Amino acid sequence: MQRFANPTRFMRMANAVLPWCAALTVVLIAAGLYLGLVRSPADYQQGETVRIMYVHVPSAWMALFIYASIAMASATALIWKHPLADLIARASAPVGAGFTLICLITGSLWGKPMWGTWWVWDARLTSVLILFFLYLGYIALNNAFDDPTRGARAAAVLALVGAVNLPIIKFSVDWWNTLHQPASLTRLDAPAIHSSMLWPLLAMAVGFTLFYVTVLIFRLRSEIVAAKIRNLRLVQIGG
Amino acid sequence: MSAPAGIPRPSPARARKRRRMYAVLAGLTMIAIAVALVLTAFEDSIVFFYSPTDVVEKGVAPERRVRIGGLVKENSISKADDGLTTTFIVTDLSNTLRVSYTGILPDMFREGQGVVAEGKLSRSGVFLAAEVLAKHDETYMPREVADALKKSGQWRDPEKGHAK
Amino acid sequence: MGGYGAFIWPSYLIAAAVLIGLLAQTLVTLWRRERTLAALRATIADSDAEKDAS
Repeated sequence: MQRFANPTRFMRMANAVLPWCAALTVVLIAAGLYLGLVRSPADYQQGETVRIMYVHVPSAWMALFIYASIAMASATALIWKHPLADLIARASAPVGAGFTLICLITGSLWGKPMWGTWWVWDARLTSVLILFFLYLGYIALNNAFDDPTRGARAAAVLALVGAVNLPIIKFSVDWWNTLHQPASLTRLDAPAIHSSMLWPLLAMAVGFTLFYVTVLIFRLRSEIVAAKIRNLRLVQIGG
Repeated sequence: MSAPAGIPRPSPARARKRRRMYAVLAGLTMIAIAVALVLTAFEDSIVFFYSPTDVVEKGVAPERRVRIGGLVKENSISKADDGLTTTFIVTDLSNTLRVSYTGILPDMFREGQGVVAEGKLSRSGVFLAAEVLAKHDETYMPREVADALKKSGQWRDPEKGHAK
Repeated sequence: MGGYGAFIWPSYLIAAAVLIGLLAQTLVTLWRRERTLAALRATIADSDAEKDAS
């Protein structure tokens, strides 16, 4: 039971912060919706469609952030065999896939009126689509083995290999000519987003992050229960 | 079976962990190098469009379907008498290319804004676009702020700013 | 929405659907597994009691 001592302590802490995370998620997303749909102005070029940004951009950030978390957890799991790391990576993947899907669909809904097309195969859009398939492949590989530790190891290797896609997504708009515009927030010379549009964006981004943490804690709890079920079944068969 | 006093030996478990860490790092480095090589090799296919300068310098074969992109030059848009054909000049601030397009333009198609056109270069040097997509920049602000900036002369013109 | 409502509202609705769907799937799975675990523990306790009785 040494293996489970650490996750138990971790889950005690996680369960203590869970109600706060859940409450703040609701507050921040509500604030983001109010600021984004009611209070923020239309853009001088894009008009009202700029409001799609408040779901599209935070989803894109979450898609990258969650994949980076999975890659780091996978490295930790492969090198230090930390039992929690595998669970965190495994529990994160569906949430990351969901955010990537939101990013792709809202991007398409934004691209049609503004660019004049639902989809183009430029470097940014294509690399994000690859990210989505990496998520799906990760989830599938994780469940492809009867022995969960073997599935976790195979999926961890895939997660690390796929991590090379992250810098490609981030810098695709700078390295190659793309239809997608470069980043607005990380520009060094001048703020490219007016504050009336920045606040709803940030509220949604923090709200989405807390949503991820909330769902992650529930999913970790679920994974630990599943592990207990597996152990009991083994005991049942063995005894 | 004890190690000599005073000389701490790494335990086998720690040595294994270190070996695994090096394996992960080495693997990642190899993959990164491989991907970088592939991306460099296929750079021409990854680039979504050519700039007018690319067209001039690298040369684009006429009658081959390609995409070109840049900014729509100010005061260069003109409508033909049929009301559907539009001609405009695409510039990357060092070279220009005349484009002709028949069809409905996207909402964001404006002078001074980015544009990507797919089509063929005619032998006369005019780019005959079959499809025109608008490309916008990464600046977002309310109309009043944009107007105020323009009035006070602090406007950063996209044609002088960070255009590619 | 300046004539763009047909693009803006679906964006928000799809985002809401995906996030709520994720949360619901997570909670339902958790609840099912907790019930399975409780049932499993009960049967094991029963069989142990039977063994003790015999």
